Amino acid sequence: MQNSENSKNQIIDKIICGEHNRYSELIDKYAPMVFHVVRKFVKEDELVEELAQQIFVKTYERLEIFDGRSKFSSWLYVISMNHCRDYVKNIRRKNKNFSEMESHEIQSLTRHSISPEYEIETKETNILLYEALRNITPDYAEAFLLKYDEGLSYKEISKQLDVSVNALKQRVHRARAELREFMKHKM
Amino acid sequence: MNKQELLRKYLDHELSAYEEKEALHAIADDSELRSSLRFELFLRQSFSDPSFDRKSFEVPEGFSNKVMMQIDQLEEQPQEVEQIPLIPNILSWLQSIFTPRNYQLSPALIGFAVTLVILIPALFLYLNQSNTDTDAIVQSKEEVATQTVSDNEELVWVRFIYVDENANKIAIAGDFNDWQPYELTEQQVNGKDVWTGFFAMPRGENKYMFVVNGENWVTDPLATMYEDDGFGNKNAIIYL
Repeated sequence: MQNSENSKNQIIDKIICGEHNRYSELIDKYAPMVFHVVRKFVKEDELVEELAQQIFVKTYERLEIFDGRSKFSSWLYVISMNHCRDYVKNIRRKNKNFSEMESHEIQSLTRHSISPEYEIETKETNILLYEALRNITPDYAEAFLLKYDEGLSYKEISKQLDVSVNALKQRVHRARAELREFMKHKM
Repeated sequence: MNKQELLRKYLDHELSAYEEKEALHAIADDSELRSSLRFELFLRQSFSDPSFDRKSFEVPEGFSNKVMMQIDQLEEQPQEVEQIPLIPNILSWLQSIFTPRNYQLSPALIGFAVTLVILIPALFLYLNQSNTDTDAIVQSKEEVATQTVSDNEELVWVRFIYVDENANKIAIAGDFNDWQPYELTEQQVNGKDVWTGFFAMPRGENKYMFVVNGENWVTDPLATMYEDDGFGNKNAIIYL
């Protein structure tokens, strides 16, 4: 994890020194987290993407003040949350699109977390799991998600995918092993 | 049975009660199996957590490129920022040298005429920087002067000057701009607030009026000719 953080800081240094194209590496890496944060505040796809773009542009503009004392992901997470909170507050002020969100939802989202560090850690683990799911063998991931995410039984999955129950059990178990391996290397 | 197969069977509930008890002992004794079981608990917790919505992490295709396009634009901006102020400055400087211009000094109120007489020499000094091409024409014997710096066949540039230190906004409207008021800019000349504007007018007869503070239409009191506008006011007329 420390090596990975050092590598990110090196990328940031290079971006600041003029290799601004390398910012795309950070976008690819952290876009899932930013989208996850934004989707807690707004639902409309176009608006979600617009806010996510604004967040990445804002973060780029501030890269020079990133001192590396905190993790880049934590810093980006805080920028994302603040940007979305400001957006929601602005909506409330203008009373525009207010129906997008219930009042109590807005209050909950605009309230600062009691333990942001814990929240960020949890999010990071979730993002890592999401990343891992995208990187393991697709057949294994498919069976795994139908079992764990959709909550289907092996028999139901078997019918849906036309694959034997025994083969599915093997796929799911291999998915577990690949997920664990992926996350072990990233953490 | 290898230990991974044992773990799989345990997780898939394929073991009898006795086998399950044995499997738990085997897992407890093996660090790798213990770690695998902990990971299984993590997976189950993650997927049972309502905040873990897989779809919420999805990123639309081409997102990174869209952001990078904005970043590229940002990177190009500093050069533009340096260039933008230069262009109008250079144009303004060139214009001050080469642009044809006529000058007409016309106070709104007769009372300001005296001030204007004082200001005229100063204004001539101010505006006369490139008068080598100047063909000065005195249009009237009063305090109205028109100075043609140069011209082309169709348009003549005329500078209008209006003195009213109490005005917040002065505009001029006439045939040349379809009577849509164009605002004059406020400048300090020898410590006096003077409203000036530099406009291209077609050759021939031009009717015009000043608009004070956006609402009061005022006839140029020093115009040499007037014409009733049909609404009880008089338009000033300038011939170019």
